[in-house]
Amino acid sequence: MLYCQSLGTCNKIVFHALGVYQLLMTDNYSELDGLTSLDPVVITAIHDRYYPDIYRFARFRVGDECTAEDIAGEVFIRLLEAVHNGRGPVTNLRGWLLRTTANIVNDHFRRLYNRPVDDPSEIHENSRDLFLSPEDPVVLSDQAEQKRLIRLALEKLTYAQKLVITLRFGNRFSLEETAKLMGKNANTIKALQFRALVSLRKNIGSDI
Amino acid sequence: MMNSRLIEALEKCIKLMEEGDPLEDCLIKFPEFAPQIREILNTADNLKSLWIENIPAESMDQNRIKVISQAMRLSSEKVRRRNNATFGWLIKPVKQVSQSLIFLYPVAGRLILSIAIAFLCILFSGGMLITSAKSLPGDSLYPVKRVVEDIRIYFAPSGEIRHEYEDSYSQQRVDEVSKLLGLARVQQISYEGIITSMSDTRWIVSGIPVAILPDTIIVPGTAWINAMEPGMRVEIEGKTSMDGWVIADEIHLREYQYIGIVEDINARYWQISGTTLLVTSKTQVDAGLQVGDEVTILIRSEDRGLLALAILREMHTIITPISSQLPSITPTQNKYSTSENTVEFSISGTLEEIRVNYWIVSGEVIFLVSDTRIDDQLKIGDNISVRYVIEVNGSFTAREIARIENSDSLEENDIQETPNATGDDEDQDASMIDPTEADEPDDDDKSEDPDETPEPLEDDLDR
Repeated sequence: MLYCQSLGTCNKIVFHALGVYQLLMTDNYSELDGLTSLDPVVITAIHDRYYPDIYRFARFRVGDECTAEDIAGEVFIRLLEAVHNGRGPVTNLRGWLLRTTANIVNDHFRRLYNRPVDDPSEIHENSRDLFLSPEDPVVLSDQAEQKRLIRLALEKLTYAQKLVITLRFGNRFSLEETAKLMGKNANTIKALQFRALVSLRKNIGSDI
Repeated sequence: MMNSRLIEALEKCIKLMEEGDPLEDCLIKFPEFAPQIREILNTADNLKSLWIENIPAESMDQNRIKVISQAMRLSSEKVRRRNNATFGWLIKPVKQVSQSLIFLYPVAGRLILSIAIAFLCILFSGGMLITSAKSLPGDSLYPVKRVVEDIRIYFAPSGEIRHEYEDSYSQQRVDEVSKLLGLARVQQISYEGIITSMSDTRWIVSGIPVAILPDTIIVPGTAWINAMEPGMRVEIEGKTSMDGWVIADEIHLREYQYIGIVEDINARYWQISGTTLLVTSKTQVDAGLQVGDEVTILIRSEDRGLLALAILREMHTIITPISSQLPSITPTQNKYSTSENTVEFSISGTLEEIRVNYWIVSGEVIFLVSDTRIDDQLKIGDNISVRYVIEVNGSFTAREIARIENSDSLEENDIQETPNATGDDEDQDASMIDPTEADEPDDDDKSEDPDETPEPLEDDLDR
């Protein structure tokens, strides 16, 4: 590896032998400085660093792999346009990205509900999993149905409840990380999580 | 009201389940809340099934490419927007003009230089030059005037024109000093002129009174010149005074003559009596001079050294054999061989230059001797007639110089040479001119001069 300290916005750029480079940044302000200049190196590092979180968030909510990929891509495009127009994140880049992801997911479901033909209850797990997995398709189908019901119940929660459930179980962020991303203290997140789980349990009912 | 202990118990159980503990093991640790949190923990356990372990690398790579290309597009748009904001209105017309002038690119450097020179010419050919031409020493535009003079001398198309410029500008220096004295301005000056009279404290140099003070430095030039004499050309450095005098600081001898022995002859330098003299193509040198000959040298003292204007053979010395076409005249004891037996010629032309020992008449150098008779108040530009003799070395020595009152019959720079056989020796005449032409009068000659007008001598032309 070759370490170089050339960019003022970055402390260290690590170039791998295959040309894939990863940017290691000490704080959020370094990311934001590089992002403002639309530096391709910094943009690449930000993408590789936050794409998994965004994808997991979207996939946890919508279930479908392709839809999750589209949503993740849309999040980064919105980030660039916001920076280009001077309305990008100021302090917390991860929080901005996940909030944007949540908004896009909500928009996705809003469009889905507004469709007169499709029934919103038809949210289902990616059908490819049923046939590509070596496991029993019947079992997989039951699991997919179970996931669909959970997601349907999840969508009945309030915005904050959905957000805390997604961050805690979809992204596996700690209580403190979730509190930081949502801009609340840990105790508030605990209570929010409790109410969200109770509501979710009620929404799921005895189906599962 | 929500029980905070219940919430805390639920959170701890969720953490234990994330670490891999079974649900029942977690409930054992909080038995008082087990009935309440069992269903909630079941729901949380169901949510774990929605967790995605692996991120599809292919979709991540594709999305990265899409994001980077979008970032570059926006970045270039940002630059374009910034340019348009400042000089955007200029970009299009400038591009159009530069594209229309693309054929000039190979000669762009010369074009710029030409424009710059043209600009300078316009600038300097206008009022500034006219104004500076009238300036006097001490004026702000006087340096411009001197620079222009130097440029004109430097770019003179020929040596003759260069000499004309130098003489003209030298006369301008004299005129400038006269004007300064007339204006009673005190100013540092420098000019060249001919000494016309001398006393211990007062010289007249080109008509300008020069005060010689005890601390005036007089630079004679060479070891042979112990004292300056009237007729010498000197350079006066000093300052004008309000009472009409030039106070001399330094006086440098510029043109003078002396007699010496040729010691060494090189292409550019002659060694004469221990002094090295620069010889140029314009130096008049007698033919056939050799080492050991005694010569009269007309010298100009320059900053770069001593320049020989003329190197002429002394008549009383033993003549070095020269071209057989030259007349074989027995040298006399007279310095300039002005014997009564010598054939006289006449030349008519314009007086171009007056020097200490020679004048230039329509390009011909005519040397003057002490008994040369000269009309009064002759000046440069006058049409004059010169009666002269041809010395054995081919040089001309004037016997008489007279102004031609009616110059209508003379064309500019026209030289009329008329041999005037005043001697008694016919053989000697025949040796220099064609006797038939000399004896036969020319019917077509309408000149008032009764003398016959033969073709110019070959010897004269060769010289």
